[in-house]
Amino acid sequence: MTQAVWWLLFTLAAIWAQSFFPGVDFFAPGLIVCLQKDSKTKAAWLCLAWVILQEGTGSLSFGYALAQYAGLLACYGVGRWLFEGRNFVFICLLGLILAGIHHSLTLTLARFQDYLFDADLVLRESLYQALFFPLAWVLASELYPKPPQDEQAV
Amino acid sequence: MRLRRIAAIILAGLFFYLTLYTWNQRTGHLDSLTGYTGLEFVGLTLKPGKWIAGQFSGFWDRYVYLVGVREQLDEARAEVDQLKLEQADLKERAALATRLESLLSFTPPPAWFKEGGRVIGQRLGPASVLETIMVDKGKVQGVAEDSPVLAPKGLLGRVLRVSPTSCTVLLLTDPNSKIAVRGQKKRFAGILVGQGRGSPLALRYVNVNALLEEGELLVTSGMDKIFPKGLPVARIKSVARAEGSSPTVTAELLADAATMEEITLLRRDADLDEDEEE
Repeated sequence: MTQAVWWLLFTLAAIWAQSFFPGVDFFAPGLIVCLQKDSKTKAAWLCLAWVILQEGTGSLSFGYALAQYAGLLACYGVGRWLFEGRNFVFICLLGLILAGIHHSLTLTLARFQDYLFDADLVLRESLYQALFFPLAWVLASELYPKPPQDEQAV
Repeated sequence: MRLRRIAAIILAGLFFYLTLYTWNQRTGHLDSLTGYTGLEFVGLTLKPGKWIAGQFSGFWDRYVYLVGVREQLDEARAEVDQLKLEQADLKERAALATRLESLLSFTPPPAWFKEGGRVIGQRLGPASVLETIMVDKGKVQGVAEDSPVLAPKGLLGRVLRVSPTSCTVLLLTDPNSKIAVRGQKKRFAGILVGQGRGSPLALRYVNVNALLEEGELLVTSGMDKIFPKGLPVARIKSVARAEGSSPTVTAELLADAATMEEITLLRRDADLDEDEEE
């Protein structure tokens, strides 16, 4: 119950953060925190809810958020073969990968729809994404309520 | 064996994704679903905060920040007197135009209704590539896709996506925004194209011999069937002519979306829309 309330508050906070920093995804660090501290099932449900939120507020056709989170989860899964999941350097690397995914996905999907866009702005947003990802991960990890028994899912 | 399994999973995932993407491109069902749920939830999350911020800034402006109010009041009174005179003159001209239109059997323009709205957000999330703002009015209030959006000074854009109580508005500054305009005095026609935030708009497809002047007001021509005729949009900023080619014209938007807090949405009479479809 406490965790469910915490994830609801996290979602509201991430929406507000996204309204202050256009083009930056604040849900992605939460997804990693959920995989590390909560269950995979909950991560899947949260992922579905956040995909709907991101797609609803976006101006691209459905598909961006789905591909972004799938890419992030695949990179996290592969990265854990080489790094310890909670290593800060690994999280920074994941932030850089997410920035790369944002840049390449935006360019590809916008061209699919024949949209004209500001490429410099997309690059700037990708850099902000790389910067904010580890910071948001640290904040979410620290604020996440400790479970009654110290069990960790992943 | 394990590598082959991973490759098969990746290929199956890619196939599923592309199928879903192309199906949605054709039908738009997933876009509607996410608009109705995701956009609505985000709108409901942002509205209370924006309302509180509006109340606080209103309280500050009304009761605390009173420096120079007296001078502003005097200026406003003088402006109101001037506007009253202009309004009387315009009323007279409007009455004359109506009489002439009825004499010449013009078809009356379709009725448009105004709906006030509050800006609750700018571009939101990584999938928002286009220059947009979020507004706290949606389908429940009669807002539909392509509804024109006005600021007090002039046209701001059109509705891109609608949820029950919120909508996103595509701004005229976006490079994908193109609207048909006309010079208010010289009546030349052209297409006004956005060039991104902070950049002036470009006026394209203008006749080579058009009488273009800096400072001329551009109004909607109504030819695109989206915006009503005669709404002020932009003012010509610069005109550069080169021999044998169309002039390069830039225009400055009258309304500034970055500082806009309240807007007006225009919606057409539903009965008229049905008649046109028939």
